[in-house]
Amino acid sequence: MSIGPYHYLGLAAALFAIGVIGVVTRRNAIGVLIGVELMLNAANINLVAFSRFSGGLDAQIFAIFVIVIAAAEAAVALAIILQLFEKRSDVDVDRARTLRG
Amino acid sequence: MDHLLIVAARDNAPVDYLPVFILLLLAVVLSVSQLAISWLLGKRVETNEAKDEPYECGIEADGHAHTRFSVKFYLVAVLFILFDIEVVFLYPWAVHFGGGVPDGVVFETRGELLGFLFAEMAVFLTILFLGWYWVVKKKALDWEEA
Amino acid sequence: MGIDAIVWWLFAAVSVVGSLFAVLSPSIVRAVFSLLLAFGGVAGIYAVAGADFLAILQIVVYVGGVLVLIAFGILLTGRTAQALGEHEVKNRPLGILIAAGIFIGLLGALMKSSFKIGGNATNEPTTEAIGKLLLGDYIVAFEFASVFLLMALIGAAYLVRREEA
Repeated sequence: MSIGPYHYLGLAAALFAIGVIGVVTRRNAIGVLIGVELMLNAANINLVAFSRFSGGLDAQIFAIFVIVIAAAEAAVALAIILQLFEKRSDVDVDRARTLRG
Repeated sequence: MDHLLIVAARDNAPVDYLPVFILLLLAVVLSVSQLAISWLLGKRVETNEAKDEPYECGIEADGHAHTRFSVKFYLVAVLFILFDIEVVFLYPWAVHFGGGVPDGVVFETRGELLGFLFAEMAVFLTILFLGWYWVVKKKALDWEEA
Repeated sequence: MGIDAIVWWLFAAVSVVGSLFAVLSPSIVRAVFSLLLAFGGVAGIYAVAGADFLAILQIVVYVGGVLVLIAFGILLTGRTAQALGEHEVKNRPLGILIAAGIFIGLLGALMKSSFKIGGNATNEPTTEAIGKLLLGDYIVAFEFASVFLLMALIGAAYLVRREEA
């Protein structure tokens, strides 16, 4: 049985669900970030699969921008996490409730 | 049945895996052989408590290895990822610059196309290097003053 | 099963196992190294799917960039990695239940959709075509990406520098 669109989309669904586990259960903010990165990767697998099975490269351009934005997002998110650590000496997302600095 | 309908291509494009396997084999042989040679030729040294110390002589190590690092390292990492992405964008640009042919509609000659591509990348790089200039201007990369 | 399918399943297994470890491992450092495995597996999937440029991009940006950034984040918040310890995860059964629900929902939607088969997939190099699209049809997005990266740099630098001001 050759690999078709269903395989790619199924794999992407699995990775997305695994990313959700990370986002929901982790208390360390960096762990949450890892879950988010996995979910973005799942979205990219979808885009690559659509590019593969429909012939055009436009979906791959979308995937490139998703990767670029994921990198920028990681940079800013980690800066926020570091700032949180500076203020509170922990990176527990459950305990970071206040909006005041 | 038609929630999502895309025209799908039959995926039976031929892939030649022989080079990949040769590369894989080479990598395994190289790493295993280097470990094996050092295991065969190297002198066995029995370990003791003094050998396992981080420093074999001098003052005894104190504290934990997990001390905090200066936040400046993080700024270097952010700068690295920024220019990492810049290089990623440069690569398809360079390939297109080298082999691009004018389409005859927007660009009549190859010179026009190359001029346009050059201007595009110049704008891109100028904006990115504004960030680098800002970081240097803010003395974020100075290590002495802190 | 052809060799393509075997290689595909291999990479799929690597990425799923790596990402499972990345979200379930109690140690955040181990989670990051499992993430390396997951990203590598996804890069392999891209390569098998004929997206050669994206596979390299995945390795350069994710493995070389984002993972390094996350590792720096762990270095800089080192004390908490130990402080949280086994309290690192919370509500795991509920989280897995939610994820399983999402997975089943997505699979259900997938099973209900159909793909019309026509044409043939190719394994041509994509870099030049991507360059052409990037600097042609998607030029605004391309130029805006640099503005976006500039914003990210200034935001990140401002956030981490503020404490010293």
